[in-house]
Amino acid sequence: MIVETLNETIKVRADFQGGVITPLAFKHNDRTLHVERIHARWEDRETRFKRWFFSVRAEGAVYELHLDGGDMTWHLDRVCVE
Amino acid sequence: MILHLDIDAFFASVEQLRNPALRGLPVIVGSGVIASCSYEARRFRLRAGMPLGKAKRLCPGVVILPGDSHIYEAFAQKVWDVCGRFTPDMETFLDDAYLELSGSERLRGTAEQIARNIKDAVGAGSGLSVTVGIATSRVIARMASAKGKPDGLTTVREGEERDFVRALPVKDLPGVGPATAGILRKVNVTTIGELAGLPPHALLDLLGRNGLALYERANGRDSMVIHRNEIPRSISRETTFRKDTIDPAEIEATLYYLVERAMKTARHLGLAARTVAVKIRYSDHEGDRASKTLPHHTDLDAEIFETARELLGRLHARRVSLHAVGMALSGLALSRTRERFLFDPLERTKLRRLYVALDDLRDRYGYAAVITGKSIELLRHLPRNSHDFVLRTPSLTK
Repeated sequence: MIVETLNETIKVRADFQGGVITPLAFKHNDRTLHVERIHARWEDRETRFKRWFFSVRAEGAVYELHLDGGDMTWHLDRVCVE
Repeated sequence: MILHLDIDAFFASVEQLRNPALRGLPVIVGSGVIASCSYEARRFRLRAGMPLGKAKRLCPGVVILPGDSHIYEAFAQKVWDVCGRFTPDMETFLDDAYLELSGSERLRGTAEQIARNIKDAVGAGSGLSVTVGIATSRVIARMASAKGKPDGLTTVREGEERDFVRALPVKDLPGVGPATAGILRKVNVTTIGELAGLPPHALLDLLGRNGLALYERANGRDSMVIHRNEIPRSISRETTFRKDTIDPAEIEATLYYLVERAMKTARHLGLAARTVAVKIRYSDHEGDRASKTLPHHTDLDAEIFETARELLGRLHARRVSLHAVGMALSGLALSRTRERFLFDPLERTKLRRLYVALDDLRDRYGYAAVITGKSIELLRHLPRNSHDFVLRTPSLTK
């Protein structure tokens, strides 16, 4: 298993229905990756603005991304490839 | 009734949730020693506290992860949020909690029903499994949950406490560590039942005041109540160095950084500290610890650091590299309600305002947005991510 840290700002298509944030697809390396499954979600409340983290499966790999509640930008944190 | 809830193999379970490829594999989280291991790893006799080298020998295929305290705290908070829906009387620790159900049973059903609902809700909300013990006292509830691991539910009804603990080994009784167990073994006491049968004065002679507390617990009696997490007993931060070091600048900078982190947490909770403790561990695994109580409470980093530096100077007496350094604040009290700060000299008031402003900046832009004082030295030694310095082992202590 290879874990690569990315720390990139990315564009994400997400559903905010009912106050629940659900990432649906995101752009990485000029490709649109569709989220097949959300493995885990958690919130970081340590900072003034909440950050919502997601571990998702897309195209055979596990990606971790988060939404920064301060400026509402999405970030791709890391990818795990088996 | 009191419910003790313990998150099963907490850190390792979170890692398996984050990356499902790890499910079914022996996974350990830790740096230097095991902080948490999955149940798959436990089949290879791996246990928390075991050095990683030994763990690799026992289980060559084990997956070792460094861990991330921010994520574990976030998952723990999810679990405590669920528990808070069932009762407000809750005392939480890193991966376990005590819940007072006495006021909730009329509203939400029997203790067992509440426990099942909590287990289901935690599983649905966080994906984590928890083990629950229910009893009339904290100690018995904790022992009941330890018996039911993993994913279990054990109830000890009123009047059944003595029978429940009687046959258990004495080391399972909270408060009995290896040293106490050794003393008891010398007088042929190996089970809690045997301990319960000793006269209290004999235990007082043998173990001091702790002996009387153990006598009560061994007989199924415990009067400790649930304390809501308003004032923690201590706030501690510790880390191992990326490479063992004897460089005083790096050691002091790391200590300064740990003090800053602990004090930020204290101010966030509205607390001031009176006692400072510092501990060090040498590269040959020898360690030492010292503490000092200040004449008054303070919430100022500079005052705490001066004391911490003095203690470090006293402790680091050998010409041997340090492997780890840590500090702790205790004697905590609410600073907002402490009238002593009302009459602080202007200089201290200004300093306090500065620290609060720094806390705000760091809350907003990440901890490493402002690097102050001796922490600047850490820029030469530690990598940074978008939020903070990346320590080798961030403290997992509340």
